[in-house]
This record gives sequence, C-alpha cells and structure tokens, in this order.
Amino acid sequence: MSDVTAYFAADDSDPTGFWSVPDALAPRFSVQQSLARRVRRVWLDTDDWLLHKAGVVLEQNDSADNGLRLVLQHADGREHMQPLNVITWPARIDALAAGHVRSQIENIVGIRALLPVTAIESQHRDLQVLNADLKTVVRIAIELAPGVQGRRLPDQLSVSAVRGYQDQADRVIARLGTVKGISPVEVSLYEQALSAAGRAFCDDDPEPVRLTGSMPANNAVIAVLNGFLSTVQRTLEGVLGDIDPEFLHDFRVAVRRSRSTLKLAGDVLESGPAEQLGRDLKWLGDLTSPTRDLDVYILGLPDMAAGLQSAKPADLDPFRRYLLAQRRTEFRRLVRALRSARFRHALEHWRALGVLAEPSDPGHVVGAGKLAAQRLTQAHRRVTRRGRSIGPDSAPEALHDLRKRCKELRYLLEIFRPLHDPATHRAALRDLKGLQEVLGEFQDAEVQSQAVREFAATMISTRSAPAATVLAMGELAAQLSAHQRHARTEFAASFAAFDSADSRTRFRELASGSPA
Amino acid sequence: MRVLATYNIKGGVGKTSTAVNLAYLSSRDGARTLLWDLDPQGAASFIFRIKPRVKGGGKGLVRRKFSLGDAIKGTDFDDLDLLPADFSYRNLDLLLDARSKPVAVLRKLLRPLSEDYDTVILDCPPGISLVSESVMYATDTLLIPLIPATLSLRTFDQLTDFVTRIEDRPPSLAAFFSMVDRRKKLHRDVVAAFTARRGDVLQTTIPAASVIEQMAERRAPVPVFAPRSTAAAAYVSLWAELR
Ligand SMILES: Nc1ncnc2c1ncn2[C@@H]1O[C@H](COP(=O)(O)OP(=O)(O)OP(=O)(O)O)[C@@H](O)[C@H]1O
Ligand SMILES: [Mg+2]
Repeated sequence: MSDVTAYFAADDSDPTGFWSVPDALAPRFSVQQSLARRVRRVWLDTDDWLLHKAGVVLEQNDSADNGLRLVLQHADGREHMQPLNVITWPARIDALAAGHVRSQIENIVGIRALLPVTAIESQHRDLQVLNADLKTVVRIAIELAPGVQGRRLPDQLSVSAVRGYQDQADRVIARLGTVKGISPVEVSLYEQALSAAGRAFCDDDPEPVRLTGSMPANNAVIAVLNGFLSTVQRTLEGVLGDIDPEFLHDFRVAVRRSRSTLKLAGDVLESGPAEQLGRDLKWLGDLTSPTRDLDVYILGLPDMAAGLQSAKPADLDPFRRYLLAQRRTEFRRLVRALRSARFRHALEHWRALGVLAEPSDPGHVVGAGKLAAQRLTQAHRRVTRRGRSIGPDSAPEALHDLRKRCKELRYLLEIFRPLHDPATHRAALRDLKGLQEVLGEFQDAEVQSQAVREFAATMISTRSAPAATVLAMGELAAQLSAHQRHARTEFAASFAAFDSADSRTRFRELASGSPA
Repeated sequence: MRVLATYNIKGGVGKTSTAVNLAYLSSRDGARTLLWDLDPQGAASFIFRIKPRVKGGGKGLVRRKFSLGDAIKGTDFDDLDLLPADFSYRNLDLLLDARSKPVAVLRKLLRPLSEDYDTVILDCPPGISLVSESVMYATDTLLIPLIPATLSLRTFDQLTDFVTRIEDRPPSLAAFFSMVDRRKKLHRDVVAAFTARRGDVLQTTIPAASVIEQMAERRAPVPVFAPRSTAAAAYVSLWAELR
C-alpha cells in the first residue's frame, strides 16, 4: 500500500529533467527502473460525482503486463485493485465481479451507474527507490507524453510513500525539488486530464437558481422553471440510454415540480404560454409514470423478499421476471414518446416561456419576496386546516388529500429557499418532512399493495404465475397493508409535531422574512 | 479478516519460514495481508528488509498509546504489509501480565484492522507464555510445524488438550510436518505413524530444503527467488489446504 504525496511536471523547455532523478537521489537512495509500458486510464464516477464527493478516485487501468484492472484510491492514499473483465461503460455496480474495489464502492454509488469521466494514455514507467538495505521505501511513477483527446500534457512524475516510510518520501521530495527541469504541481493527473478535456469536478451539477426578494415575481418564477428545464435537458440522455433509474427519477421530479410551480405561482406569467406548458407537463408526467412505478417495485423487491415469513424469496422470481418484462415494454413506449415531435415541441414551449420575460416590465411589478410570502402562507394554512380536521375515523382519502397539500408546501419551500434564512428554512423543512414521510408511507403502501394484487390477477390470467409465486405475492400485499396500518397510527403524532407552536412560528418567520 | 499464527513450543522448527511464505502467497492471491512479527529476534522483519523497531515498543502497544496501524510498514510486495518486531517484545509477557485481562489484549489490538486486511499471520516466538496464550485467543487457526521426531507427537497432543480448554472461541489446529527428509527412514516412519494416529494432520509436508535456508540471505520469500523449487510448491500446496 502506498500513499501519493507529491506531483511534479517536466518543464516544456527541458524534457530531460526526469533522467537525472536517480542521480539526484544518490547516494542515500538507489533507484530501480521498470521498462516503460503503454497505459490507458479511464477515470470513472457517477453522474452526480458520488465517488469524488466521498473523496475516492476510481480508475480503469489497462496495460499489456497487468491487463485490465480497476484501481480505487482512498483519500489517505491507500489503494485497492481488482482485475476487470472487458466491460462497457456506463455500467452499474452489479455488472462488476465481486472484489476489493466493488465491495468498497457499492455503498457509495448504490444504484447509480459508473460513467467514464475522462481518459488518458501515456508511457508509464515505475521507479523503485531503495534504501541502504535495498528495501523499497518510495515509489515514483512517471508518465511520459500523456495525451487527452489529442492534447498533450507535460510529462508527469508522482511520488508515493510505501506505508510507514513517509519520512523517506519527504527526503525524496526535497531532493526532487532541486532537480532542474521539473517543478512541483498541485494537482493530480486526473484533475489535469479533466481540465485538459475542458471539464472540472462537479461541473455538471445543476447551478443554483438565483432569486432575490426584490426581483419581479414573474422573472423569479421563470428562473425557477428554467432551472427545472435544465435538469430535464441534462437527464434526458441518461433516461434514453437507461443508464440508471436515477436519471428518470430526477427527470420526473423536475417535471412534477415545474407543474406545481405553475399551479401555485403560474398566475404571474402570461396565461397562454403558461397553460400550454401546463398541458405539456401533465403529458410528460403521465408518460413517465409507468416506467418509474415499475422501477420502484423492482428496486424494492429484494427488501420485500427479505421480509417474507413463510414463502421463500425465490418464489418471487417469476414476479420479478414479470416486472422486468413489463418495464421493457413501458420503457420502449417512453423512448418513442421522448423522441417524438410532441416532446420536441414541449421543450420549445418551455424554452420560449423562459425567454419571454427577459425585458421585464417595471410597470406592474410584484416582488418575488411578496409572492413567496403570500403563497407560503396560503399553502401552510391549507395544510394545517386539513390536517386538524382529520380524526381517527377519517377516510383514507382525507390523508391522501393532505399529502398533496403537503407536497405543494414542500415545493414552495424549495423553490423559494434562496430567499429564506437557512437555519429557519432547514428547521421548517424538517417539521414538514416528518409528516410527509408518514403520509407517503400510508399512501405508497396502499397503492403498492393494490398493485401487487392486480399484478397477481394478471399473472394468473396469463398463466405466468405458479401457485408458490401467488402465495408469496399475497404475503407481500399483507406486508404492505401492515406498513399502511402502522403509518396510520403514526399520523396523529407527526401532525401534532408539524402543528406545534414552534413550527408555526417558523413558518410565520419564513413568510415575513421574505422582503417584499 | 482471518487470523492465523505459526506456533510451537520448540524453537527452530520452521515457524518463521512458514509464516513468511504463507503471508506472501496469501497476498499473491490478492488478499490484503498483514504479517505480524511477534518474535523480538525479528527474523521475519529481517527477511523483508524492515528494521525491527516499533515506535513506543511493546509498552506503547499494550498500553494502547500507539495503535498497530501506526507501526505497519509496506513490504516490497503488493497487498503485503508487515508489523515489525521490536526488541522490547522480550518483555511482552510482563507487560501483558500487568493488564486486567492479559489474554484478550492481542485480539483487541487487532480488531481495528479487520476492515483493512483479509488475512493476518502472526509469527510467534517459541515457548509457552502469556504471549502465546493471548495469540491463541486472537487466532482462528493455529499453524503448528512439527519436526519428524517422536517427541513431536506428545507436544501436539498436549497443545490440543490445552486449546480445547480455551473458552468462547478456541482456534482450529492445523499441524503439518516441517523439515522432512524423505531419504531418512526415521522421518518416513514417524510421519506415517503419526498420520495414522491423528487424522487431523495436514497432507502437505515441507521438505528439508536448502532454498528455505537461503531465505535469510536472499531476504525474500521462497516463491520469489526459487519459484520452481519443490519447497515453493510445498508452501503453495500448504496454503491451498488452509485457504
Ligand atoms: N524446511 C526447511 N529446510 C531446511 N531448513 C529450514 C527449513 N525450515 C526452516 N529451516 C531453517 O531452520 C532455521 C529455523 O527456521 P525458522 O526460523 O523458520 O524456525 P522458527 O521455528 O521460526 O525458529 P525460532 O523458534 O528460532 O523462531 C532457519 O535457519 C531456517 O532457514
Ligand atoms: Mg521464528
């Protein structure tokens, strides 16, 4: 195990600097060199940079002598490797064989696919730096003529301490500092390759929407809608490529939130285009539901199978296959629609709406702050009023309806977050989230247990379910109903928390704290 | 993390040679491996060209002033690290004796490493002491090199008896013959008689071989400098039985 501790690059003017490294380290150290070999590296991360955010670097390394390997480097420099079979990226974690690298990243990446970030090819040479006992204490890696997409980077040298020999590495680094023709650089080869390819870490994370309380309300709403539009455009490729389920999820969240934005604050926009976009968004929401619902069942199946009491998890295999087949059908339908003229037009409407208000009309301006205050107060009142009217005997519909009102309040909170005091905002969000979780579980369990029953009926009528599978599905439905009952008993307490004096004060502060 | 230890009351039976070669073979399989040199003589550390010195010494470790992780050194081989010996380990017995539960100390010291390593091999000094007893509490498998002499049998029986008295989680015993000279009738007879009496001896025998003696001079595991030797093959087959 070794620890990368310093990087150097050759000066353009003098590419021979590296040749004097062994001399510079003598006599205290001697150097053993490997033959140069061609290495191709591809750095990998998820679309939302989960590995980078967790402080690890994952690389596919391909060379004639070591073959194809996955190399994982931790923030503390420790490295793990596992051999890799030929694979095409993007790939999800279950496409990797079990191994040291997979076991360390699966909790970080979860269901997200690994995508190639950038690649580099170079002539690689290893130098072992030996002490007087001829023990390797430091490793030096040299990359000659590294190239990224046809661009050449300067020759690179990186120094790693063998575990337990950091003091020796420090000496080596100090000696290298005196070598003519090479100079220390701050960033790793990965980061250099990234910037040579015109990119940076987290460069495709969505930009925060910039709102101020005094900006005209219509422009604020348009800015919010443009933020969602860019998410839809950014995730589209991942949805069409079916890279991982999160792309569709993010796509749908953006669509749903846009719809709510229009519903809750669209009246400040020009009515014709806003209504058109509303129709487009409803279409998009309906279009993406079947595939997403199936994703939810498929992703939840292992957990549900683990909770079976009498049936065996394998009894559910035909159900799983059935879900996968259904999903293939629905997904094809979705792709056709997303490639249609109708979708293209929807995006055009959306973009056009985004430009409309650019030259804002200072004549009849309502400030964004005032709009936020007004709409938040209304939404909060709707939630409390409905919630208070729910008693132990209320019909399930009353809870479903309350869930929708909570969602509206949640969207408003998120949309107008930039206008709020962060601490108050976080606390208010926490109050609401607790309630939303209970309501969500109540409704999801109902919808899903209903769906499991319907799936079972269809599978029986198409003779695709053996008796054991139907029985196991019966157990699943029962499990879900138990979840639902549990959520119902939790409701009163979680609503009381939301409706507490403290929480109400927080929401009042949020509404009044948004300057007009 | 699986913990193995080479152990025998007798000195010079091949404990260190076995620990070094098996640790190397484990890492060659891609398992993250740590070899802990518990013998103050530092023979295993010497073979890997690592100075037998641990900051804070045995005292620092036992009193938990320093963690094992801080003392670990990387060897020249991928996935193989070494925890060097220290001269102060000759007092390890006394240091352990001063603790409230001496036999549990080594196991506790190893626990934080369980995420970092797949295999840990302890190379013990000869003799019976608090150190060897706490090794028995810390290991899953005790590797016992036996030299082909009638006395070995008695030692092994005694050890078996001792180990079964360890509460909670006694290690499994894996005995094998070491330094066997097939040309000697006595060796052949002892191995045959012993194997007939105790069915739990491993199949592999490690031959008496000059390449094994050369490890100290070459300062490397046998498969590194004599990959095609019968001794290297014997260690490979021993490791295959244990894996
Ligand atoms: N199979 C073998 N054939 C020949 N020589 C061997 C063999 N195994 C070990 N030796 C040699 O015997 C000596 C003792 O071996 P080793 O150090 O492995 O035993 P040990 O049990 O660890 O000894 P100690 O009790 O002193 O720690 C060493 O010189 C070693 O090279
Ligand atoms: Mg020894």
